[in-house]
Amino acid sequence: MKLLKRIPASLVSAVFALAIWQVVATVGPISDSSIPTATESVKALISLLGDAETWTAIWETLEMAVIGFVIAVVIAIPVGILIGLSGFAFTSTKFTFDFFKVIPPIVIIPITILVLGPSLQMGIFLVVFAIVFALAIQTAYGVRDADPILLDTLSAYRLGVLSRVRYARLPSAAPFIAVGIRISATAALIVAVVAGLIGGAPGLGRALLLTQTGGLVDQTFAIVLLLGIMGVIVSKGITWLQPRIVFWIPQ
Amino acid sequence: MTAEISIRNVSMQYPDPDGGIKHVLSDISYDVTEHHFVSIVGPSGVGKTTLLRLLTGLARPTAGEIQVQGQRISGPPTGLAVVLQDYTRSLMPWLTIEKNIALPLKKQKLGKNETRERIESSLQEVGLTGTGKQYPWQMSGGMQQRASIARALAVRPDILVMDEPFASVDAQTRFDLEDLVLKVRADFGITTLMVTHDIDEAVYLSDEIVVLHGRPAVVRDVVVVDIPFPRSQIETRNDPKFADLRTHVYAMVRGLE
Amino acid sequence: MRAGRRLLNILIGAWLPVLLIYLWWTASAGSTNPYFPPLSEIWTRFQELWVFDQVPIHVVPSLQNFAMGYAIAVVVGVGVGALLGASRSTYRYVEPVVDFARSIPAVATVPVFIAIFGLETSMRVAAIAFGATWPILLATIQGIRSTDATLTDTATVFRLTSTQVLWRVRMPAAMPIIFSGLQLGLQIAFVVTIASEFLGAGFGIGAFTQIATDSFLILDAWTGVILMGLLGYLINIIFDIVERLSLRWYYGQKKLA
Repeated sequence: MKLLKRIPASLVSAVFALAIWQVVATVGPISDSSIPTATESVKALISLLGDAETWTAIWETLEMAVIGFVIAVVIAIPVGILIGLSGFAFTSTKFTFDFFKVIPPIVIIPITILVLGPSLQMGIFLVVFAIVFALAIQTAYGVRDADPILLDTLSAYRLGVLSRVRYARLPSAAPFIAVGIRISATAALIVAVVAGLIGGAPGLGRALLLTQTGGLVDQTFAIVLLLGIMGVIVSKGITWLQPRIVFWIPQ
Repeated sequence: MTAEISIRNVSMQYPDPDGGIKHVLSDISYDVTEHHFVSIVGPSGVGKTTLLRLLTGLARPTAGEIQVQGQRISGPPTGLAVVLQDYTRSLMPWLTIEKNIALPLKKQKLGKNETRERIESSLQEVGLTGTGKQYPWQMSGGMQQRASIARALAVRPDILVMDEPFASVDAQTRFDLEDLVLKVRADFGITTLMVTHDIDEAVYLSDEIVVLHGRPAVVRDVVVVDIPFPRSQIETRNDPKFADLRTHVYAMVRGLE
Repeated sequence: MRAGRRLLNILIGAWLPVLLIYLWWTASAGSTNPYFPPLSEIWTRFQELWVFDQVPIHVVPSLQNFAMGYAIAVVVGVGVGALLGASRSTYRYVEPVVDFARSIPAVATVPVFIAIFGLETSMRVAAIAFGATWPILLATIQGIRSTDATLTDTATVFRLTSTQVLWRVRMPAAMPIIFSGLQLGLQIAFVVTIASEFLGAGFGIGAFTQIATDSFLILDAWTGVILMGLLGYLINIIFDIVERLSLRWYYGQKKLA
């Protein structure tokens, strides 16, 4: 009995889930539909991973996500800081940014496709659109959250705006920015996939779309599994990376 | 007089997160007489709250047993009500004061009218008439603690347990609440156990004071407070007996005696 | 002067959006760019289609699927989440699966559902429900698990059963966290609704926009995009209002902290 407790929970539940899948796909109520069994899907996944094209697709998706993410960060954080420093700017932009923040990027794909075509640029644009507003607002909130007593103290010592930003506002904004970055990074990957699946931009999204239109069901499932695995890796990676990167913001 | 609560050779230990075993309580024995008000005092961290958790049935002793009205307890006993220190976290913030008081009453299946009557009378007893429809966060700290006491009274408990109930309010409010406790004691005579670090308060309110001390904690002494009731803030605290008792207890808590 | 302050704030918040729309209107007025027709024409076409001619044909089915899928997600997510949150050992085994399922981009699951269900309405509702359930499930589990021990201890001492503690104490206490999961689930439900229509054709705002784009009916496509944007925004506003009303106690408490 003690041995059972030593087996990691993740292994047990993964095996269990796959077993249920296998059974449901073979003898369950939906077994005559074309859904592949667990074994078929895993086989398809393994063969996909052996295919160079899959790795190109993975690379393209990551490329769109990363470039879009970097562009968004470079725009959003300075803009967010500026907005946060001015009460007037904050109230002025609040409605507009809130509005665009809430609109899911998938909504603008039809127009974006017309203008930019199903291209890498379209995907990058979509990623930027998806995260730049939220990140700017987050940063602005963080800047505004600065300790008023600390700010008064710095003013009393006649230290200018730049010092106040450096010693009071940036440190207070740091945790807000960290959270915003973590959320944006995950979102960037998802939006890159959506750009491909719905908009035809290159990468795993498009690969997934092609399996669907081509009726290659086991590959459809395989790519979805792959996306899940990538999602887990990215989120664990970010959690690991975050405390190591945030240090550069003055505490 | 029968022992309402009987603590018999209770010891408590648990695995230390840093390795090894932590011995918190060692061979604690004490009988709580019916209708008495007993304070439990001791230095910080000695294990007062642990003892309280054992008394309320939230935890089980590693050795010994606790009997309530002759029955060994193995979980929260019936007829027990509790007032904890942090009222912001023990009153349910999404319920009005009325609904907070009504919550433990559901177990008793009283029916609408009697529930209502209990709520009203409890609020009246603690001086909170008419505040039933307010939410806890709309009230001051003192009022919230009164509400907490009202909630305990409404179930008509045989035993009332309080864990540093007045530690989170300001000194003025604390005196008011102490007098409220005396009033409740005079009106109802509920057997009460109170953990406190405030020695003056312990002497002011109690019939007996149990002093815990040591690591692991043992019962250092049981001090009988033979100042008669009714007591008052001005006269009682002026009484030389009060000062003697206070000093005696304080010295034991500090390990000087 | 308070009304004056309020008015000022509204004006400050409004000038930028008004200016942007005005700029768009005038800049596109004489446009010959096929992809960016004059805003005035888009507006005319918008009124022709969506006030209220095409609403029953496209908007209603979309909203129906959205509502049904989301409702299923809420019931399953909160119900199962509550049970899993209360049981520590079961969750340990389920957690990795939940983590994995949650990491799959919801939109990417639509092809899977098409494979299982074909292009029927059931495919859409299933995909929406699936995508929206995970954040709700996770938030509920987290909320239930992180209930303040003081609240549950008090309830336990007052002899509420563990089922009562779960539904009467942990659940309401977890509402703020659950609501953040509900909000995320709402947004995912909306996105999947549109995605299921982009990929699945038939009726619905997304389907309409897709067909319009394919047929190069640019004006129609623009109106579809704007309508989707407005609906997304509106749905979030409604959710915000519901949240503010349901969590009045939470916000009231925070304001005073």
